[in-house]
Amino acid sequence: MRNLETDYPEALKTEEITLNMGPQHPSTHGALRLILRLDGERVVSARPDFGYVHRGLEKMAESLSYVQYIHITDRIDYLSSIMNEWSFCLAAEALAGIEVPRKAEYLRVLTAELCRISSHLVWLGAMGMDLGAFTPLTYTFREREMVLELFDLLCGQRMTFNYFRLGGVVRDLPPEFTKQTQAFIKYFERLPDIYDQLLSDNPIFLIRMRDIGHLSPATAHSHAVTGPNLRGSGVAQDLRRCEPYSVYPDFDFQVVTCQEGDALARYRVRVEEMRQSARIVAQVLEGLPEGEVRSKVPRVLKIPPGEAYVRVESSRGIQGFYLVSDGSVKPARCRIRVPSFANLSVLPQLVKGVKVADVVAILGSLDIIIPEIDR
Amino acid sequence: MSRLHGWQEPWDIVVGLFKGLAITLRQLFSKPCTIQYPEERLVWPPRTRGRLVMPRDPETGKVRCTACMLCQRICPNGSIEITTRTNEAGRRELADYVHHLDRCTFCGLCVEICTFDALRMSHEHELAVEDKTRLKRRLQAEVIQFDNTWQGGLRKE
Amino acid sequence: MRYLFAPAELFPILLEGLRGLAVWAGLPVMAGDWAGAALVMFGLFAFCALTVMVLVYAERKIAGHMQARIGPMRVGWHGVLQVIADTIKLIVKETWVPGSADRWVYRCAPYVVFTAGFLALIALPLDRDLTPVHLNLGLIYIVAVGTPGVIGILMAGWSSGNKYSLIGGMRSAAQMISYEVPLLISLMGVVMISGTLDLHMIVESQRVPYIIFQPLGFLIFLISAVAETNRNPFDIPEAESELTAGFHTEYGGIRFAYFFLAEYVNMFVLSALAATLFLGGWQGPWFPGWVWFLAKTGAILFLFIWFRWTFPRFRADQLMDLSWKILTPLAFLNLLATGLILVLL
Repeated sequence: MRNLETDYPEALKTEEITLNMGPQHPSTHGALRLILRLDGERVVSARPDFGYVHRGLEKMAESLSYVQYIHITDRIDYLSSIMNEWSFCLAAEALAGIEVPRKAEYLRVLTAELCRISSHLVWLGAMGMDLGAFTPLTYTFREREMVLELFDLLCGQRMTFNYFRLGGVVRDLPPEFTKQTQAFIKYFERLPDIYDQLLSDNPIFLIRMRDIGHLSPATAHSHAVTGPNLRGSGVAQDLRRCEPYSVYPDFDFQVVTCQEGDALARYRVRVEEMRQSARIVAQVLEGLPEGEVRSKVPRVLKIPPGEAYVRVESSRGIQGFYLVSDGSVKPARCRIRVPSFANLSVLPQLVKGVKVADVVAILGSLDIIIPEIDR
Repeated sequence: MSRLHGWQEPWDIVVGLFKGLAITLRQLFSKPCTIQYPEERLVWPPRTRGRLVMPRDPETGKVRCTACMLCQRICPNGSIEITTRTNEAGRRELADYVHHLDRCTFCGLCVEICTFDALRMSHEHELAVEDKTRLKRRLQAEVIQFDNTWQGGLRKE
Repeated sequence: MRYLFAPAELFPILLEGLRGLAVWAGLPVMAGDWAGAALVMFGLFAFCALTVMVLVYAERKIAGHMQARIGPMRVGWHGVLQVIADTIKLIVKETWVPGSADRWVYRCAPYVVFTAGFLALIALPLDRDLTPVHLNLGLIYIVAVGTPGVIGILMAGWSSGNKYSLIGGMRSAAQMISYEVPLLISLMGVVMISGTLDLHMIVESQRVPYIIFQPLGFLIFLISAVAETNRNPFDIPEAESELTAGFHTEYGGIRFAYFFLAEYVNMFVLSALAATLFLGGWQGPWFPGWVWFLAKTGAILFLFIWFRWTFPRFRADQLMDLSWKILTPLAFLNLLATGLILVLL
């Protein structure tokens, strides 16, 4: 018997096509362009093309004073603004040698963990959306709205908080905040189960997410992948635990890892991380110390010459600020290490050989924020 | 019938599907969370940062601003433009306080730095206009009564 | 009140009137018949448009409430007129052919898709006497005329000159052909029990709804029907998150409206078929037959909507697996079991 494929190659000659996914596309999560080479529905190669929302945030730092720049850091990764503020403040504080009061540290942890919850909620909804399930999005946004209301109560804004200052935070908790947050945490306890029932118990979701986008720890390390994506590959790397900053050693939480390294593992890590964050928030509220929320810092702050690189665990991985000071009121140079950039860099490897639909699922499972990549 | 890659046991499949269906069905008969915006509105917390305002002191009927320029200097975007003049007593006073709404990011640094408690951020947030020139607000010309218990928005604490 | 229970009795009266009118106007009596036929077609189209409107509104409301939203609220009381506003918008919108499109194929495609769905509507028994065209091979007819729809989708996907459309069209062709098989075979169980292909006879023969005898057949039919109408979880031809809008990415205005109409008409036809074959069609106590028919169809439609707003979407190859490796063997198994039981009893 003759083999059609080998004996008559010209009869079954197929061509690869190039598919431009984005920059305007429903599931590239912003202005990201993926140049896909397709053989039928199979991806031969993928090349991410980004930079569509470059705003020159690093250069901007050179013309703004330290306190003025804090509200710009909110716009790097708009879903985990607090972590950006935090790493910037930590870098500047390290340069200037400013002490942060203990209560302020607690408030920083509190806001950061709330922010992580809200960020993961958005990701969860978007992940469902990428797989064609529309309903989880509205549910997670409903819950996220509660977190945003807490932030509104605390710092007067829902996404661009501008809450941290060098040497502390702007304001103390408003009177009703503690009660409302405790109510939210109580409400939030059973929510991950609902998401599980809606998504990860669903056989369709499972066959879509399982065994795709397999990220091995070695690949992850070689591409500097961090955060839940790395923990989804079984590496228990969490800066809050392995390189503790602020008052994280005070709290009892678990570094969530999953061994499989596929999209489903990354999903499980994030859902469980929301639970852990809620636990930390509850502990902060219980053990909140009395005292100042902001140490005395001169209004015109001249930071001594030097350089500092400080990194924190953001919702997506390691978020770092490298600051160079020349002794003036403004940074001489600012470099931002964003997790999404490294996390995206691994995508071409992950999508090789999968179907088009899986590209969307894998991209969604990596949880990237485009403005953060482009800065 | 071969077992397909990645599929679970048949029973798990059925249970898994019904779990999801139960959740959406339960929600169908629960209360939606929509707020019908122009008719219903959220109650903003006191600290919400809306448009910048300059309330008047009820005793003197004047704004408290002394034209110290701190807010203009702290503003990251240059959205505050202060003009000063010298009054009869030979002292510097405020002539014109222009807030460029189109440049403002509502970061609240101006309110935070003001030492005279002359600036507040109100809850006014529906600031869209058809004419760009209307984004230039002259704050000291507006009459907003000053009240120390005012909960209209962000104030210095 | 009498006509509520037998609306079909209206038509002969109307036809007499039309004939009289034709004679009065000095035209042959034939003209009256033609006018009558046109009236039926027009009535069907109106019925189809109305059904789709109600369906779209219901879907948006149900989807809204399932998602903790409230759906359309602005146009009319609780947004009931929203569908009309949307229809007007789609009609008055500029129709536009992309530069890279194959112009005529591109233009024809939506009508091919719509016609396929619409023609099936003709043979549905809405009530004992209310069937636009009574065919003794009604079942075969409905299934057969629905099939060319896939050609229209393929035409749309191919002619748009867009890679997303192309992939969507190809997926759609593969999917609809694959699911045609279990769909048809699952129906055969009912045909074997009732011994006829006439939809009227099938309904008449159901003393208890056939879903009791054919639960597996019903399930297979339901799944295949969802896949046939390209709805979530099988909406890979228009998979929004992957292919923007699949085969109708490049369509807008009235041409898009026809695709939209076709999707919902197909949904209605398949639901009506399920109601007729498995749930006993118009049969039911107290209410007029067509009310029962619509209620049963509505129940199936609710399932369609419910699935769509709950489940994620399959991947193209998993979809094929489901059809060929699970549903088709199961359908044959069902057929075999039905046959054995019929022989043995």
